[in-house]
Amino acid sequence: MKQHHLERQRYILFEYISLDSTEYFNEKEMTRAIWSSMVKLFGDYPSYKSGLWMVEFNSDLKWGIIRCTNKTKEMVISAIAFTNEVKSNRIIFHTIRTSGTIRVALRIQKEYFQNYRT
Amino acid sequence: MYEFVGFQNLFMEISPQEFKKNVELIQKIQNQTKIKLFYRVTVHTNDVNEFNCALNKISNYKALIIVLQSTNKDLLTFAAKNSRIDVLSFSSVEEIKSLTPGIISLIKQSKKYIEISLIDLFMQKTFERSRSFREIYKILRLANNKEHIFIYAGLESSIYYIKGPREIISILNSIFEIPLSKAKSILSTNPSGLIENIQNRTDVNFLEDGVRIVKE
Repeated sequence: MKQHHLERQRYILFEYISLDSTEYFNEKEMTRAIWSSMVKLFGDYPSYKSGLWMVEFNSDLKWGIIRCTNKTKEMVISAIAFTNEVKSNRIIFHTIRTSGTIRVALRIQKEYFQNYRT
Repeated sequence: MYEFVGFQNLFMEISPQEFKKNVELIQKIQNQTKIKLFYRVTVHTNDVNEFNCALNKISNYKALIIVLQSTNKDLLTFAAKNSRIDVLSFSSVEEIKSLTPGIISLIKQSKKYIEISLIDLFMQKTFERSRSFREIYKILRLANNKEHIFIYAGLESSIYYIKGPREIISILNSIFEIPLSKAKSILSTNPSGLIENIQNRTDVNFLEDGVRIVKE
């Protein structure tokens, strides 16, 4: 079993807004932008240890769920805050909630978008 | 945009003349947003006489928060003892360098607040950003165990530099090594304390800490 599966995971639900253009980003582009922000801030080793991975991503409604380890959760949220652009389009991120399981994260996402983003 | 990133209360910069003239407009703006708005005036000066003149013009507006932004250490020491100043602001690296342990101690005694901003970190890149990280880290270490006097200021020049409270708490915790509970208080409890000070100042029945006139 790989090392990172033994660590507790956290799922970070976020949404974003881009006022520059209506261009859609795919999962890889978004992950790459957040990952490079993480490497610039903290370096290669902490970025590798975080196990950062985009689990869910919706480019129409502009939200996503990132998985990371519980010890690196704050570092990943900081990296998201320092991500200013994706594919040269300026973006503002908002971290909605964090959760220990993906099931709860998806439930929070449904409730949040029903209550605040309709 | 502030509502999008999760803020519930906001301190807005305003000039005293506008505050007096546009009471209805201010009320209209407040009605259109769920965010509660509070108003502040910033005095930018390094000269003591200029500071006194500016203060004489605005000291009658008790509902306004008065903030001083300066690099003059003598002026900062004088302002830390002045009862009318509520907050001392240190938003850039040059201003942060003028903050000393003596000023921090005076601010703590007179129950004022120090305002820090991370705007330089979001705007700068490479070595300049590293330098800014270092300066802010030194100040937060200087004021060890005195996190209750810090409040966070955005001071954004563009909407793309607006960051939410959750992100700021994570930055303070992961980069500046401030415990999570104290980082949360910088964004919630401390500004509430500042608002309480303003409300007590405008309350006729308030005499001093712990003493209030109760009318039957």
